[in-house]
Amino acid sequence: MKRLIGTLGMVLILLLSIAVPFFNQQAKASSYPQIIKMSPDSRDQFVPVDTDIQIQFNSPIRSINSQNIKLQVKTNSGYFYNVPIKSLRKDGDTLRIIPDGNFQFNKEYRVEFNGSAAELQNGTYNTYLSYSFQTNYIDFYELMVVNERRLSNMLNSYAPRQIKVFPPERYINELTVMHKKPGALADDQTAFSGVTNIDIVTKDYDVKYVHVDLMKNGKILQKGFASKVTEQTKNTKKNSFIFDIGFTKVPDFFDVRVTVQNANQETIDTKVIKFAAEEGKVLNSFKETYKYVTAGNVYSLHDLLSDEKLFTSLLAESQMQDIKVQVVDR
Amino acid sequence: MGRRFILILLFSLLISFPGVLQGQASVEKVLMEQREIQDPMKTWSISFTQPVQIGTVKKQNFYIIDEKQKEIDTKLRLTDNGKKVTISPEQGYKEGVTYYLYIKGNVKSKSDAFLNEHMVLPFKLQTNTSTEHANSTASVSKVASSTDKLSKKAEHLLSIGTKQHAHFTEINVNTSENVTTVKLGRDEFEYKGNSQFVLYKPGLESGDSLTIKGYGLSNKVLETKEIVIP
Repeated sequence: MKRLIGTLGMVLILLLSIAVPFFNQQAKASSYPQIIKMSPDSRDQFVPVDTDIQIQFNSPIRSINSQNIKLQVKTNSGYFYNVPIKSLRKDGDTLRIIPDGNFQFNKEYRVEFNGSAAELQNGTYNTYLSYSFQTNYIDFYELMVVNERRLSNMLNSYAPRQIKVFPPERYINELTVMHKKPGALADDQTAFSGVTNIDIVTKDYDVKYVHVDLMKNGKILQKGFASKVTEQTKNTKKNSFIFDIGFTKVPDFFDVRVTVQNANQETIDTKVIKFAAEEGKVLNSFKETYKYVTAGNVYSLHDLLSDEKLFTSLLAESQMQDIKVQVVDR
Repeated sequence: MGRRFILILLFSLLISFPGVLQGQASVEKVLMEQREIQDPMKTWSISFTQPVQIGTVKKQNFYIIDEKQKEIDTKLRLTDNGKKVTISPEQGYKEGVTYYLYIKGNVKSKSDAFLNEHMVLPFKLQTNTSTEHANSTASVSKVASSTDKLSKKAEHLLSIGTKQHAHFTEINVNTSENVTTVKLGRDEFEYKGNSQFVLYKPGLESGDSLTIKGYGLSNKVLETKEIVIP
C-alpha cells in the first residue's frame, strides 16, 4: 500500500513538473505585447471603402512609432505602393490607422508593421506584421434585380445595418440641347439639316473630359469631345465647368449620351437623355437640371429599407449598376 | 485592243478627275423617318429660312418617286416670299406604296448658299376608309392632319410592363419617339436609350393602380395611362 502511495506520489510530482511550467508560460505570454483583434481582418474581401483600420492590443498604448507602420495598395502590376495615412491614433488599447481619403473600390490593401510599431504598457510591440484585405464590392443591380438569392444569402450572414450601400458621386449638373432647323417640311416639321448645340454643366473637380454621342436606334450617329468654355457666360455658375459641342445634320429625334471622364480617362459619370423636336418649331431646346440627394453618400441597407423616400431617391438618382455594396464585419 | 483602250480611258478618267467623284460623294444623302399619310393628294411644303433661288425650284431638285424608282407627276410652287416650296401630286398616291420625296442638295438660296445635302423623305399612304378620299386638297389635308393627331395622341406610351422584385417594383415603359420624359407622380423614369424608360419604385403592391404620364419636349403631357400592378 505504501508502495502504491509512493508510486502515485511520484506520478503526481512528475505531472506537476510538466503542467506547472506550462501554466506559468501561459501567464507569462499574456503579459507580452500581443494583437488580439484586427478590423478589417486579414483576408476580408468586401471591406467598405470608408473604413478606418483598427488594431487592438492586449495592453494600453503608450506611444506609436509611425515610421514603422505602413499602409499599401496593390497596383494592377502586382506591386504594393504606400498609401498616405492621414493620422495614427491611440484609443486605449486600440491603434487607429486613418487613411487619407477613402480606399478605392476593388483593390487589395496591406497593413505592415516593420520594426517596433507601438509602445504598450506591457512592453514594445516589435513583431513583424503583414496582412491584407480587399475592397471588392457587389453591385446593387446584381443583388436587387439579377440575383436576389445572393441578397438573401448575404442577409443570412450580415444584418441590414452591416450592409453598406455606396451610390456614386455624380458630376453632371445640367444638360441643355438646342436644335435649330434651317428648313423644315411644314406639315410634318422634319428637319433636313440644322445646327445642334449641347451644353454640359459639370462639377468643377475631377472632371477632365466630356464625351458626347448622338445616337438613334442604338447606333452612334455622331460623336465628339465637348470643349471646356473658358470665357464667362451668362450660364457660368459657381463651382462648375461648362462644356459645349456642336453638330450639324442631326435628325429631329435622337438620344444624347454624355460621358464624363477624369484625368485618367476613367468614366466617372454618364447620362442619357432623349431629344424629340416638336412640331411647328424651328428652334427646339431642352434643358435638364439634376440635383442629387444621395450621390456620394453612404447608407446602410437598414437606412434604405426604413426610409421609403430615401430609397426612392437612391433608385432614381443613380443607375443601379453603379451603386456598390460592401459589408462591415462586427 | 479597242476594249483595252476603253478600260484604260475609264481608269485614266477616274484618276485624272477624282474631284468629280469626290464632289458627288461629298453631297450626303440624309434619309428621314418614314411618314404615314392619310391624304392621297397630300401636298408637301418645304420651308426654308432664306428665300430660295427661283432657278433651282425645278423638278430635277424637287421630285417624288415610287418604290420602283418611277417618278410621279407633280406640281411645284414657290410661295411665302420665296421661302416655301410646295410639291403636289397630279394623281393620288396609291395605298401601301412607299414613295420618296427628294430635295436635292443643289437647291440654292438667293445668296447663293447650297442646301448641300440630298434630303429623302419616305412616306406611305395608309387610309382607314376610302370615303375619306376627296378632291379638295386643302380640306382633305386639314381632315387628314387632324386625324393624324387624334390617332397619334393615344400612341405615345406604347407599352408598360411591371416586374416585382423583393424590395421594389420595376416599371418599364416603351414610348413613341416624341416622348422625352416619363413620370409616375413626381418620380421621373430613368432613360435607358431607344425610347425605353425604367423606374424602380419601392412600396408598391399587387393591385396598386398607377398613373403614368409621358411628356414631350416642352413638358406637355402627350399621354396618360393607368395601369394596375398584377
